[in-house]
Parts: sequence; C-alpha cells; structure tokens
Amino acid sequence: MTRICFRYLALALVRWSGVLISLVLLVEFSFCVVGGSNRHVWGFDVYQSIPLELSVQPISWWELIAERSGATLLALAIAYGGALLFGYAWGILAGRFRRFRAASIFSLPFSLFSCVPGFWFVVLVAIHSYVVWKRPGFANELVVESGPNLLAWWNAAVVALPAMAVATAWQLRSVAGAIENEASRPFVKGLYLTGYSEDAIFYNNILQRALPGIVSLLDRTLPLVLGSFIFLEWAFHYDGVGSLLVESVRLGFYPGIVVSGMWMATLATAVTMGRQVVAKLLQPVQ
Amino acid sequence: MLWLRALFFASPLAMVLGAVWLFDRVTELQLSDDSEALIYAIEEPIGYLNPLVPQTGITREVTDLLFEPLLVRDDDLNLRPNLIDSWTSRTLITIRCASEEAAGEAESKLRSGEYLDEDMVVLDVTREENVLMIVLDGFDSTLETRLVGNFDPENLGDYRLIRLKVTNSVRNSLEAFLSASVEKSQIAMLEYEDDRTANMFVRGDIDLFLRELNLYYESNASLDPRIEEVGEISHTSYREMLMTLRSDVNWHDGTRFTVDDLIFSYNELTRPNSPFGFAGSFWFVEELKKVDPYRLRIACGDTPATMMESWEKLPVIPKHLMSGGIENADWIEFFRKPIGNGPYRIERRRRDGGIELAANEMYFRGPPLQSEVIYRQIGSLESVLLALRADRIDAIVPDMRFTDWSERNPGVMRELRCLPRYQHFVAWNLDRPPLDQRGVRIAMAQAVDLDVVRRDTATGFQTPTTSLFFPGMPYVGDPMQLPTHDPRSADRDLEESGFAMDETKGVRVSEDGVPLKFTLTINEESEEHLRMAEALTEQWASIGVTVVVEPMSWSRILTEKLVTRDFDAVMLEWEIPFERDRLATWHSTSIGAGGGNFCGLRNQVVDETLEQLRYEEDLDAVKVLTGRLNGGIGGLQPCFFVCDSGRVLSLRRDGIEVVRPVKNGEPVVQPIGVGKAGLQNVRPWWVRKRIVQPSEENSPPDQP
Repeated sequence: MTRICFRYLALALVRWSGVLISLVLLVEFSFCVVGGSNRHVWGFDVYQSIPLELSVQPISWWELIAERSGATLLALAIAYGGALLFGYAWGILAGRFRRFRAASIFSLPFSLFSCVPGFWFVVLVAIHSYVVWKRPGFANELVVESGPNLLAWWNAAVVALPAMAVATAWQLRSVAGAIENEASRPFVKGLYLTGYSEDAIFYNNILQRALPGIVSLLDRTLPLVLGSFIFLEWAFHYDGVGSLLVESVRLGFYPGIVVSGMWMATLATAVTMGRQVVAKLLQPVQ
Repeated sequence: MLWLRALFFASPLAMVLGAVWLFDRVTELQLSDDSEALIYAIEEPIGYLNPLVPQTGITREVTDLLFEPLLVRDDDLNLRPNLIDSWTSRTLITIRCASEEAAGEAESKLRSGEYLDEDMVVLDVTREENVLMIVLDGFDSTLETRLVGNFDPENLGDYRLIRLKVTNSVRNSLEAFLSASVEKSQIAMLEYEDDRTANMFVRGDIDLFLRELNLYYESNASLDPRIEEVGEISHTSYREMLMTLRSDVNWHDGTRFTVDDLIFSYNELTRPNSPFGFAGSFWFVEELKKVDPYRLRIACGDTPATMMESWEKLPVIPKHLMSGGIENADWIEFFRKPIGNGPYRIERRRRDGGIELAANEMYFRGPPLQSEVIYRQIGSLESVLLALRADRIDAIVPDMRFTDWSERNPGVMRELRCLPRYQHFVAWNLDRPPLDQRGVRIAMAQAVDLDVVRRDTATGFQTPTTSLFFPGMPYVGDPMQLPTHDPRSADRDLEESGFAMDETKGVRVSEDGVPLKFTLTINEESEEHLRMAEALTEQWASIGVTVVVEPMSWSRILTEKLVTRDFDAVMLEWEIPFERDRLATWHSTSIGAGGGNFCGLRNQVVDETLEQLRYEEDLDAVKVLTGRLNGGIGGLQPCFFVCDSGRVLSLRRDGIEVVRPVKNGEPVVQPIGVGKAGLQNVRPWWVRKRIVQPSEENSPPDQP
C-alpha cells in the first residue's frame, strides 16, 4: 500500500514539475520572446505587490490566494461534485436500462445544455436578473455583508452550471459505456441462459466487474471543469483562480499566471494520484 | 437493497432540489435593503476619510458628509456659525491709578460714560484698591489708548513698565529672583500675563533694579529671557475671544462634542512638527483655555480681521477616540472608518471599494431626509446602464464611455458641474535664471495658447484662471489680468531679455551662448499634469525654449523640491480656499523653511497689500486690496496659471432634489444645483425624489 502510494506520488511530482516547466517556458516565450518584455518569470522583482486591478483593497498574497481558492473550490464542488453525482448515479442507471438506450436519454438534457454557448447563458442570466431583481445579475454585483452568504453559493452555482453540464454528459456516457462494455461479455449471456434474474446479473456481476473501470473515470472530467472555469469565471466576473489567470495574462502579471496555473495543476495532479491509488487497490489480485 | 439503489439513483434530484431552493432564496434578496437608498456609482475605491489632509473627488465628498466644520459658508458665501455657535471679542484693559481715591473717581466717571467714546461698549468694570479693570467689547487696536487718553492725567499712576518674557514658568524664576533681590522695593505692582510674561510696574530710580534683573537672567540663559523697558505707562491690555460651542452636537458614537475636542484638535494640528501644517493659520493665538464644556477663552496676541477664517479651516476630531497613547496605525485605522459629527455616519465599508452611509439620527440640525446613501463600484458600463434603467442608480461619476452613451441618449442624465475649486499652475523659481527675469516669465505666458491646453474630460472640466480667490466671494475685487496668447510679443520679450533665436538649432540662446532651458517638475501620479506638461512643452519649444519634463512622486517633490526650493519650475495644483489671507503664500517673509512662498516672490507692493488684507475690516477696502493683489500677481507672473478645474457628476434627470431643513418650518425643497458655495453646501441635503412625501417630512431642524 505504502509502496503504491509513493510510486504514484513520485509520478505525480514528475507530472507537476512538467507542468511547471511548461508554464514557465510558455510565459517566457509569450512575454519575453514574442512580447519583448525584459522582465523574466524568475526575477524576484516581479513578485512584489498585487496590482489594484486584481484587488481593490490592499491585500497580501496569501489573502488573495485564499480568497480566490475559496471561491473556485466552491464552484468546483458544485460542478465537479454534480458531475460525479449525476454521472455515476444516472450512468449506472443507464447501464441497467441499456436496452432502452437510457444513456442517450439521460445525457440528452446535459448535452443539449452544454451545446448552448456560454454567451447565451450569460445573456439569459442577465435578462432573468434584470426582470426579477430589477438589476443586472452578474456575479460581482452585490455583496452580502451579514448572515449566510447565499449569494456566494448562487454566484458559484451560476459559474459551475455550464461546466457541470458538459462534465455530467461526458461522465454519464463514460460510466454507462464502461458498464455496457462489461455487459457485452459472453458470461452475461451465459448467466441469462442459466436463469439468473436481470437484477442479479447486473448488480452482482456486471457492476462489480466494471467497478475498477468506472473508478478509473473519476478524474477524467476534472481538467475539463478546471479548464472551463478559466473563461467562465472571467465571463461572469467571478473572482476565482480562473479569472485570476485571465486577468494576470491581460496585465502581464507573471506571479498571478504561475500561481493560478500551478494551483490548477496541483489539484488535477492530486486527484489523479488519488484515483490511481484507489483503482490499483480495487484491481483484482492476479 | 432496493431502497439503497433507489436512494442512490435519486440522489442527483437532491441537488436539483437544492438548486431550486437556492434560486428561490436568492430571488428574495432583491436588494430590499437599499431600495430607498440614494445610490452613487463610483469609479475608484474610496480612500481614507481624513479631513486633516487635502482630498479630492468622492473621498472628499464623503469626508464632508461625515465631519462637520466649525463654521460654514451660507449661500452668499458669508461666514456663519455652525459648531461654533457664537463668538465675542473683548479687550481687557487694566489701569493703575495714582491712588485708591483716584481709582474710585475714575470708576464713577467710567460708569457715567464720561470717559467713553461713542463706539466704546463697556462690558464690565471692577476695581481693586487703585487698580481698575475694564472689559470693552471688540478688538479695535486704538481702544486702550483712546480710553486712557480720556482719563484725567492726575488720576493715572506714574509707573514705568518693565516686561519680562521667558520661555516658560516666568512666575517660578521671577519669584526666585525677588526672594534674593535687594532692589525689589522699586516694584509697585506685579502682574503675570500668562505662563511666559510678567509685567512689572516700577517707580523711582530703576537703573539698579534693571541691572540686577539683567544679571540674574543672564545666568539663566536657558529661559531665553527678554527684558523690555516699555516706558511710562499706567495700563496694560489683553485681548481675548470667547467662543461658545453648540451644546447639542454629538459624535456618531453618541459622545457629546465639547470644548475638549476642539482644544485637542487645535493642539494636535498646530503643535510643532505636526505633519498637518495648520500652525501657520493660528499665528495670532497665544493660548486656549476651557471655561466650561461648551465655552472657550482664546488669548490673542494679535487681532487680524481674518481670525474666524482660520477657525473655519480647523477640522475637529474626537478626543475620546484619539488621545492617549494612540499610535500612527491607530490614526490610519480611525480614518478608514471614522467617527465624525456630520449629517451622515458610516454604516459599513463595502467589499467592492464603496461605502454605505446612514443618516445621523443625532445630527444637531435634524437627520437628513435621505436615510441611506450607498457609494458603490459597479464593474461594467453595461451593469451601470441596466441599473440606471431600473432606477437603481441616482448619481454617477462618469467615465468616457458613459459620457458618450449619455450624449447619444439625451434626456436620461443631467450633468452637474461643480465649482472650479482647483487651480493648476507652474510655479517659477524666481531665484534662478532665466526665470528670475519678469520679461522671460511674461513671454512664457504669452507663448502658450491655453485654449489648446485646457480640455474637459468625463469627470472634470477646466476653465481659465481669473482670480486667486474663491469664485464669487463677496470680498473679491478686480479679477486677475493674465498675459494673453501673443507669440510675437513673446518673441520680442525674449529678445529684449537677451535671448536671441539660434535659427540653426531652433533654440534661444543668451549672449553667452547659454540656451534658454529649464526643468519642469511634475507629479508623476497626475495624468492631467503629464498631459498639460506635454502640451506646454510643445508650445514653449515653438518659441525656442527647451523644457525638460521631470516626473516624480509627490512626496519627493515636496521634500526634495519645494521645501528646499531646489527647482526651476514645478507644476502644482491647489484647492482655492475660502479665506482671503494669502500672506503665507505670497509674502516675502514666507520664503524658505516652513513658508508657502515657493516661488520666492519679493515685492513690496504685494507684501503691503497682503498685510493690509489681513487686518482690513471694511468690505469695500478689502475688495480694493484683493483686486490689487490679483493685479500684482497677474503682472509679476511668479506662476504661470494654466487653469482652474472642477468635478463633473452625472445625475439621473429629475431623480434628486435638495430638501433643506429650516428652523421651525417646513423643509424647503429646491431643484438640484451647486450654488455659490459649491457642492459641499447642498450635498448633505440630496434626497431621492420619490421618497419625499408630506407624511415623511421632517420635524423642524434649523438652518445655518
């Protein structure tokens, strides 16, 4: 167990370092080679105070990262959590009713929603907010100063919803696909012929055998969600890590680019490592 | 395990239900809290609300709503009581009579009015043995000599007055001297004016006494003694002002505003090494003494006519929050969310950089009718426009995009131009060539077409400078005549000043071949000054003058350039004050350390005008003097005046009106405007139009 953990940790570190090197090279190439800047990403002087464009109040680095991380993690919990919840629950259900093409039916609303361009969704939210609240509804419009911060949840949900729709459709189809793949094996037919009930075949055999494959899908939607947050947060004026990355790129603010990029890379690498460890443990011993 | 499967498959529905519930709850928010608030869209976060330092823009506006001045200007710009309810000036004259009988006779003649001129109003007369103490109303400098002149000379005592001044504790040192003095019998009367001054009335041969006194104090040089033989005199006088504060003023935390706050603010702002620079405005004050919580006695060393203008400038801060071991960090924290005594108090600072203000229910003139004001930063123009259409914004600090939109959609907004309160100018260093020559300075002014330099922006406008004084002040006479744009005259003046054009290089050079060149220092944080400097440099270059623009931070300009006067030319901006006393800015005694005459102007006519302006009481004479000063400065050109500037606001058309409280009467509703005294006079009384209803009209606060 410990050996497995260390092995995957080492692998994760290699991945993480690869991302870091790529990011540094990308920044250097973009700003110094192409942009002609004489400030380098490794220069100490670039890691000074935070520009006013990123925070209207005087704020430390740690406060900025904590504030932005908190906002993104909340949206991520909704988007990624929702994708896993819908994807696994309804994906398994779709696998159970595979003969009725349940996977296509269940994923249809999510697929349709994910086809709606983000722009139109933004417009719809704005129109709804204007009609109902008599005010624009972008995420940075109101600050709740006391009581439960429902607005923060609402703002996070607005940002998370498009990402969640895409990820859910993908997750649902992948889970259902993994189960259908397992269900197409010859032993399933044999079990039918020997008189087992459909429920018993599905839950006691197909699902159990498909479990490692299903678990291996756990981290597949995370990069998608994180990637979509980069433009969704910026489009919705949502102060998270994704918008920090875009604003930093616009400002040519290297620390913001590196911190937000590596924040996402760390999260994705950690989840992948966790998935690999769990999948390895679930694999039947040969 | 069917139930477990059902639960698992139905679990996503819980998320859907949660989302529906969240949607429902958030819909209920609907900004119900600020539906009645006056909402102000701002461009930049509101800074520290510190009335002790110069401020501009919205930060200044909010500070004015939080802090109440000691005195205010009415709509005709006349000074009116505010926190200071009333003030009287008195001259206290002590007359030593020849004898007790002579004093009695003089007292009876005083009481019968025999010794009094028509303009003399006696407030009190007391007698103690042969000493008469008379309190006269007013500060006329001739009062004492006229009154004593009216006395029967036989009734007056024949004393010689010796005045002793030391740095402190005069009583202790003098008593120590007297305990050992052999000539002290010469002293007929002794009077201590204050902690530093003693008046000794002596009789007979005083040479020995003076020698003894001098010897004693020479050995106590640390007291910095000054012994003055005033001469034969039987009276002393003392001028004081009695100030009464309103007794119904509270700080926002409920603490009563008293004389202690005023004395604390005065001491803190005028102490030596105070960073706030108010000491120069109170040069005439010798001492402040608390009489009771609402009355203050001010001993005056001099009695200029502009005394109350100085008090008008003094901001007051709460002593109970600021005194006793307060560190700099505490001051900074205090001014982030200050406790003031104005018509509005801070409800909270918003996370978007704005601020929420609530009407001060304890405000002494009655709370403003507008109960809540919200200054908020709104992210985008689109958001502003949507909020505007939903009647959720009443005032806007516009940007260029909004101004463009406003011009394309006439009828929605109304532009409000505040008074041009800020003056922009280039201060020349008159001690450095070539700008020490008046001809060169005039040429520099004639070379510039200011119509090209001035411009209006979304947030401000610029107008030609016409006076050194606040626009519309009743005491202002003739305007300032500045050189007009005339490049030919500029060329001629430069030729006459010895700078000929070197056609090959396109620059002017002196007879010694030195090019006409100077450095213009500007504040690098001021975009407008950067732009102005560029425009001026271009025009000066066209007459062959080379100007090197040197941008630097304001703190460096202050410490490295202005204080040391180490500059050729520096572009500055100041707020035009209400006061007429400009001695600290233009008088030759104000050159150098601590002085405000950065240009180094030395001119006898200007000096005399400034001195007269400080003491003149008659309004017509003051008008002549202000006109003369305007003319003097305009002609001498110690500065090149670029423009005056003011703020521009955008208000929802017919969205706001001014509802002024009136003593014992219905509030007066007025259309929105700026008035002669500027925005700060009407801003506290802005009310969203739709909430003015007869049933809500306020009870009768009073009006300055």
